[in-house]
Amino acid sequence: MNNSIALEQALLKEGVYIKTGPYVSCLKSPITSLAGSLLSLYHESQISLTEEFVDFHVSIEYPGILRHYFRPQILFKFDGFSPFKPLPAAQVYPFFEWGLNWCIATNSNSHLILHAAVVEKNDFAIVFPAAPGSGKSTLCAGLVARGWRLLSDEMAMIDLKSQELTAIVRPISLKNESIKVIKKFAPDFQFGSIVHDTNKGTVSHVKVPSAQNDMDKSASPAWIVFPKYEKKAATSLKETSKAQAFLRAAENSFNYNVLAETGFNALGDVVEACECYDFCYSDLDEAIKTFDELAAEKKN
Amino acid sequence: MTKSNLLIHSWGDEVVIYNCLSGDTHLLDIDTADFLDDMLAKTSEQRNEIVAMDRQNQPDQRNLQLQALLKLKLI
Repeated sequence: MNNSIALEQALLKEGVYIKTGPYVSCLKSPITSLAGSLLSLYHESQISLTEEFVDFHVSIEYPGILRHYFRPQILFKFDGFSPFKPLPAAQVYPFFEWGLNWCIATNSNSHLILHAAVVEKNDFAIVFPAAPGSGKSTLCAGLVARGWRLLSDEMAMIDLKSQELTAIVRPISLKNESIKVIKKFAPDFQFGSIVHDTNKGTVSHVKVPSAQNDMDKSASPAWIVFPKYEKKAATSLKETSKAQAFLRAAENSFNYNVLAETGFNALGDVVEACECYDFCYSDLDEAIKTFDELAAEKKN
Repeated sequence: MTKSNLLIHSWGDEVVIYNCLSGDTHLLDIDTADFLDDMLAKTSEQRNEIVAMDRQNQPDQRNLQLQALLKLKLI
């Protein structure tokens, strides 16, 4: 059983082990408030104080003694290297999540990684590749609230051999208006603290519901959907050409260029296996109904 | 596609081509892809001849296809 005090001590000394999909990260930090955030947003099965094989050694530290006390700032470090400039200490939890995104995106070339949310129902998954601000995470959180299983709200991890989508379950990141929308839509969701004035605006994270106990199960991609939230827009799902979908998915990839031919072939196989759509929405209930119907058709 | 450094996926009347040498990915319509296939089946001399002849012709569909393929460095 992990409790807050044990976690705080582990953060200060040997580190806390966080399991997200196929990866284990070891986090160390003198900022003990992180312990509370980890406990409230990750599942107990994802956090361990027992030493295990680690993929990413990360830490969040104060950049110097001055910035510990005067307008405190923090630095994210991966293997002792700081890929980012310091941020205000109040942003410690989002900074950890963004840093972990960076670690996975830049070091996981066993998968083709798309900037996309992935949810699954009846063993078939929807991949939502999209640029930030398109309403991807809001839609993803809404679907998860209505029974879809989350594989990731940030990265579609395509296995290069099987073309299956690897689950990498982490708290869902919501920004600005979508925080209010999801709080109203899913009052049972457990939210982390709301952090204002970040580079992305106001952000908050949501714990993935515990009912989803098959967290590490992979899924077959069945649909690639490019979502777009537009105020007062009617819900529309329009088929898009597979070739266009390929290019747009590649544009949203973190490592398509690194993987070269392997990435081209893997993405080609995924696009081949999927139906591809453009999706525009403003009403979350209607959006979920659309995807529920799509899943029901596939099941039949 | 007859050139070994080009990989393709084709769906309907669109073709996605990956150039293994440059790392670039292109989307071509099926007519342009067929024209590329024809061009790649020719020798360098034959291709140069076609390009030279094309410069003297009025712009047409084939001229545009040729210019696109040259611009994309696919031939």
